[in-house]
Amino acid sequence: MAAPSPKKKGVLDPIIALLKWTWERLERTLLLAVKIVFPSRFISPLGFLGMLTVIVFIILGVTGALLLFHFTPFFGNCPPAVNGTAYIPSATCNQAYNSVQSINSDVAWGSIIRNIHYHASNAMVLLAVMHMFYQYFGGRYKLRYEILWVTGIILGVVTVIEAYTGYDLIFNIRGQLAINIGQTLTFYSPVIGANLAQIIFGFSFDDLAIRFYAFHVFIIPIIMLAIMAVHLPKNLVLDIPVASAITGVILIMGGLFPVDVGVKYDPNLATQITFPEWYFTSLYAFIRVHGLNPFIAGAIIPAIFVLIFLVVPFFDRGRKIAMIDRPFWVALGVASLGQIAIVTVWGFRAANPFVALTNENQLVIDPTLFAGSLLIATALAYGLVYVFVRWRRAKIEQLRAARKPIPFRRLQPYIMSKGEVYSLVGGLLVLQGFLDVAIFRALLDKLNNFVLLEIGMVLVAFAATVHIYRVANQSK
Amino acid sequence: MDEKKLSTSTNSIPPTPTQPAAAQPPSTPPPVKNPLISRRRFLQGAVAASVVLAAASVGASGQILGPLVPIPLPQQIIANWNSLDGQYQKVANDSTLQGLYNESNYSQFFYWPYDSSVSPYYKNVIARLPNKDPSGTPLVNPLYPSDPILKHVVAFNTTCVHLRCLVNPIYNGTPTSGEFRLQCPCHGSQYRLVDAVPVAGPAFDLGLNPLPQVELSVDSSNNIIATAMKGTPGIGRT
Repeated sequence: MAAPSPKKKGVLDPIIALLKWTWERLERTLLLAVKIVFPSRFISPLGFLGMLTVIVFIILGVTGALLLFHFTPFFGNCPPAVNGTAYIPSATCNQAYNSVQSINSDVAWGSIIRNIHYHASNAMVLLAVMHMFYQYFGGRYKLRYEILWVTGIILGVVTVIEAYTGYDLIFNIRGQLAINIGQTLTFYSPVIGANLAQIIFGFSFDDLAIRFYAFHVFIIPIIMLAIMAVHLPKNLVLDIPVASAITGVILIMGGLFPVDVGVKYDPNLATQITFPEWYFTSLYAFIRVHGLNPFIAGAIIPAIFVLIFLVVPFFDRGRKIAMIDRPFWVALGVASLGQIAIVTVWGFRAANPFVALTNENQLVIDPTLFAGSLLIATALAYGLVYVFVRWRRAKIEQLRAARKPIPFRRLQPYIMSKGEVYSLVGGLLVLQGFLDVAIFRALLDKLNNFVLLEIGMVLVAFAATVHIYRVANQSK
Repeated sequence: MDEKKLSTSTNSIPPTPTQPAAAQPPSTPPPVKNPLISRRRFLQGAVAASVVLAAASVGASGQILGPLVPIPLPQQIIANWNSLDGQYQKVANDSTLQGLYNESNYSQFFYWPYDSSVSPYYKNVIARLPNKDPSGTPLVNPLYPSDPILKHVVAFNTTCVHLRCLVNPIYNGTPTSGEFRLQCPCHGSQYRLVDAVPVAGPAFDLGLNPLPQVELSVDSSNNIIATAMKGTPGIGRT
């Protein structure tokens, strides 16, 4: 409109020119082919749970790389007691566990990094499952999403396998339980079982340690990246505040619930009751069912479950994706969620799920009770949801027929006043400053869990600050 | 390959007017000779075969995935009868018999045919069988029913065939009525001490194999020697 005002020459001009030069040349590379949208207003994080999973994957990569410097993938030698004398564990027994223990107690920042790695692994499994169910209920597995959906399911399974190889590497009794079960299931698989078990688990326990190390830090992550190359959509949403908040929450969890190293596995000592990680207690519940072959319980049943999800897009052929139009599939999804919840909790509990598991006599689960409660819960969840969705659709059709507006609950954004914005942002800045000082103090006193908690809180405060900035800019 | 190429390439020569087509009545156009396989198809097939053969040439490279299996130990002395029996007699002659319910009084562990640095799954137990159960049944190793020493000794691999935890010798039941057994601490499978056949727990419910048995012999100075293992750890004796 007006004549362009003569631009002042700034000090930053050469730098800006260089950045621009670089950016233009980067456009010839693959790097800029992926379009990442940084949303300027708040959108529900449920829509980009996949991106959050990627961020947690990156956190896992970085912390995992740091842990490599101190981990020993070696089991060592655990000679039994010499006849007639008391058992003295050898210093070379279970060196993998020993190295994890030294990471936790001796290595500077070791416990912090390991805590982040552990809680991020849980977060990744959780986020991946949430992502899957959100996309499932949103019907985002059909209408040319089929390949995204199928690769996503495979990626989810590979993610869980990656987590499995990770927690086995610690060689505590929990890892040992998982190794024993995994090895049994592989051995009992038909035809190739014994050969496959040797390839995956090796012959000796030193083989096992180095093999799982190779799987966990290189082979499976590479496979995951390869599947991701097919799974990632072309347009990505990266919301910096939400990503920062998720990172912060992982750190806060690490500070509040620091992970321990567990009981050392020593083949010469009697083992204790232990549980798998929470994403495997469901399989553990099946394995514990009376009279159910471990291979069927631990391999066939979960495979059928995954397969059902894998083929959903080829059976749900309708062109409608709204939940209201897919009562069968919505009910199926809720029923599967219910099943996952029941068996996951049962894996932690005694044969009677209302009692905590304290001794091995309570391990074996009665099949009638188990299958019966699963069936009843599935039928109930399925029936109720199906009826509810049908009822809701009928109601909407009624409103449409009567030409009445369909009621929507729309959230009115809260407009903050100038004073509120300033005091909130100012308060958050003060909080961050205070926390930074507190982190420094905690570091001096070697209070690692406090450090973790406070770094997490700083990240959440940062997320809040950016969010307020965003909201305030919008409501101008 | 070359032979095949020669034979099919003659087929793919385009028909010429001097071919048998000329013998046909002139009213019908000369039929196009249909070669068995067209030139394009043949070349595609050749490339596909080449791809398969090239892939097959490195197929055996998968062997690098196999682990290095250590050389098994030779026949080895694993215990001495005199000390094993002496320990047993010390508590067995006690009229209260309480000492026998402590498994360390009649059993000990050893690693064979791979030592303890290889794998916990090769941990075995050797037991001096108590002469009889409290119920009165005499306990004799069924492998050596007439050997004066070995009929009193059993040795088994301790890897449970259910989910590979390591079993321990226990006494199941009250002292006056019960059985000497091997018990898994993880899921409670129990095996008879005499022949390691599953008698309780998941291994029994699922009808799994008995534990692998170590075959024994005795030398002139009453040393007990492990000579062979019948069965595979974690799979059992079939």
